[in-house]
Amino acid sequence: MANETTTAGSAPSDSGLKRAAYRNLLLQATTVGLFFAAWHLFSLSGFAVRAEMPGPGGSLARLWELLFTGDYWRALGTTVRSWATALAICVVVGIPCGLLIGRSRRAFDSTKFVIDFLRTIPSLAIVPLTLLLFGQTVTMVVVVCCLAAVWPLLIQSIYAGQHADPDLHRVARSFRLGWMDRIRYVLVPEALAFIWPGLRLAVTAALLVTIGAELVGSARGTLGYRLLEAQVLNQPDTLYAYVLTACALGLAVNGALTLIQRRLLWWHPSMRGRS
Amino acid sequence: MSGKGRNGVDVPGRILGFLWNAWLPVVLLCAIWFASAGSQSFFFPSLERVVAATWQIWFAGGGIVTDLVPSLMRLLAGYAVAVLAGILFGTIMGLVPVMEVAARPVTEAARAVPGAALLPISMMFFGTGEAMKLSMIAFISTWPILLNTIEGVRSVDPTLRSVMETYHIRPWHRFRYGFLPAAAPQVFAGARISFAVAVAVMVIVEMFGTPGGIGFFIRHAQQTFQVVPMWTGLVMLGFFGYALNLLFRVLEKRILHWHYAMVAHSQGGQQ
Amino acid sequence: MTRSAPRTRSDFHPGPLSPGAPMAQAETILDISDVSFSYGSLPVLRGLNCRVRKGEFLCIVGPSGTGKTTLLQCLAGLRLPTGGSVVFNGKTVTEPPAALAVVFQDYSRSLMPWLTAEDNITLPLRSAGIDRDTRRERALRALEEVGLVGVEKKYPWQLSGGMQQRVAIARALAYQPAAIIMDEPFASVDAQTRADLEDLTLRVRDHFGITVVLVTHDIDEAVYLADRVMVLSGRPATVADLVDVDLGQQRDQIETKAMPEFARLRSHIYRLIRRPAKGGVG
Repeated sequence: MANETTTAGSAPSDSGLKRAAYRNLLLQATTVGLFFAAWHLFSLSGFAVRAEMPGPGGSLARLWELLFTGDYWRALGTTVRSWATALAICVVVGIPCGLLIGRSRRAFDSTKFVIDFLRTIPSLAIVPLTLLLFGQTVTMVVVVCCLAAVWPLLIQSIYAGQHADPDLHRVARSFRLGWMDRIRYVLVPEALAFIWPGLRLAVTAALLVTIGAELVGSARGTLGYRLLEAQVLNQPDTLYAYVLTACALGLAVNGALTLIQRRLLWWHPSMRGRS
Repeated sequence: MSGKGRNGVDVPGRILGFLWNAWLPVVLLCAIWFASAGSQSFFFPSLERVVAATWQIWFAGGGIVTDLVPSLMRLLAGYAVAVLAGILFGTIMGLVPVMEVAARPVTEAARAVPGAALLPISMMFFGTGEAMKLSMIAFISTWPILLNTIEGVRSVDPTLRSVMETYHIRPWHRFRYGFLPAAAPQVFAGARISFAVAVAVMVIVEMFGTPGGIGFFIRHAQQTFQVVPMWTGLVMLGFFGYALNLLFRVLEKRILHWHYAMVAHSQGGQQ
Repeated sequence: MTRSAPRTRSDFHPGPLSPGAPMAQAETILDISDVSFSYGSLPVLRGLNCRVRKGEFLCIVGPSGTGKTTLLQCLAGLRLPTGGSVVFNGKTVTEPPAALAVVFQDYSRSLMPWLTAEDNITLPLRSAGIDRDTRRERALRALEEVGLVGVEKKYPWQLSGGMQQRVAIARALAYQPAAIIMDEPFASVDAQTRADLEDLTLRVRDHFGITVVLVTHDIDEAVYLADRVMVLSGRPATVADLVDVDLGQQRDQIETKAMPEFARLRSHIYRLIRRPAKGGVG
């Protein structure tokens, strides 16, 4: 029955939607403003002063300065490259393996325990080991990241392999679709719908683990290293500037993922009817 | 999942199923054991030595009590705070859509920030003691369960809402018997993710914090080049994490028994 | 969430309606007064009028999409009409009235799957502050009334569709309302079950003297059950006619439907629905 309770009828008209969108934007802008205001006020308190917490002004100013330094962009570039490399490896290894395991009941049963066990190991606990093996290098970071991000991809690919829809394939055959077309119009979209959540999770997890491994392992020339360095050298402005950078990177990645999701999976039931 | 006989227990089928699940891990273990048997490598000691050392350090030597239990305590304390805060605020924000929409920039940003990046900040505020560790675990683990709770509460069936309105169910009862159980499957999914996050954060903060806990043990072993103890730490962490996950799943099956039974029922062809 | 005053015991009408009691003397329990509803600029209902008498069985019938459900929501207090008013037991309806119970169409979504049948029924009673023993007793009696015995510890999804709807009706009964509103309650069950549930509803009304307002798109059902039928038709929907159904107090699936009067009423209503109404008749 009712979705809204005890309201007069409201029109889902175009102008109504636009008004709602503007109102939401305004609300959110207010929230952001309040957040920065609260940050500023808090940074003036005794607790924050003792912790040498800079206000938003100081942090943003320092961030602005950093944008013109080579170091900043090098660190950012290295981090992004590590993240992308690890992701590429995970995709190339994880998806095919997952699909194959998914297609075979025996393979699934056999690997179930091993996968379950390995994926609960917190990847950042491996950092000491990889530090011994690879030192404080980017390689260390990529290895740790691979070990973390491969699991969501693998597991979702297994689902994709298990749930291949035989009806769709029969329809494709009855229409005598060539195998190229079949791959393009049936297999890939179908697999994509399953694999996408895993890919999405892997992308965000990979970013977290990359920066985490860089920080824990003090990998030179990376974003995580800069964070640690700023704290050790007692440069709070720089520290917060880099934290904001990390946050912005995460937001950008999330935003890009959402956009891609809308493009690729607009047809999927889970995407329909979303505001 | 393969269908098993409803009335009788299919013993041969079950044994076969168990064998299929077990052979690979066993074979791998044996392979690693024999492959590493006479290992002189510094970084990869033989499995035999690692197992022996694990027994010595953790079980016989009481390592479980001195290192694992404190970690567990920390984890549970931080996680408990995260769950309570996540469910509480998630419910409020789920029920008041305006609040959720307004707060979205903050929740999105908090979700996007890599937890490790907050470590230096936390250390500047709280130092390296228990306060830092607990606050990090609690803060970072809150977000997955918060976001999932919001989603779960928002997707409560409108018919159910109408029922609660027309029958004048009291607010507390609406929460306890309506919104909470309805959102429970989604909340648990969030709780599961939060748990994994909490474990990961626990390890990190112990690596950077004051001595104590399994994270510190592993880090310290690595820094002093005690490779075999480091491996024992990793092995214990692996089993520790796995055991906790198993426990979590058992708990989930009990609390959501109605949900799983309902799903199995509808997939079984009835209705 | 609307905050309402805790319920006190509602008026409970025991005993059957005496068959010859002149209906015109019974008081009005539900006054639908010039009710209109628009979604923004789109009018859906216009100028609906009807006075429902205490103990009456009113069926509201119309084709799908006419806004029957919207009207029901207004009657139940889940929506405010954009014009006119609904008065229940002398008070204007702005939120769900305490002495009103609703049975929804989709039983699988209106019963809580994490509660047993008994707990589903007793939840409203618990909120009303009724003690445990009384709650349990009422629930068991209500289940008995709807023909379900021994299922109180079962979960809704363990029961068939018809049984689930019976539980929903039992929940309404245990609530001891003055009136029950039903939103196409038998649309989702098979024909045989539907017949059983229709007779159950009649029995319950006779036994407790509760006023029933039932919305349906099935004309046969409307004529079979009702004392009066409100026929909605046209866009925006208006009352095409308020038809008195004079088929006797004791209805029977075979006998009543074989009566010529049944066929006449049926055709009349069907014709009204198919032809757009020219102006409302109240």
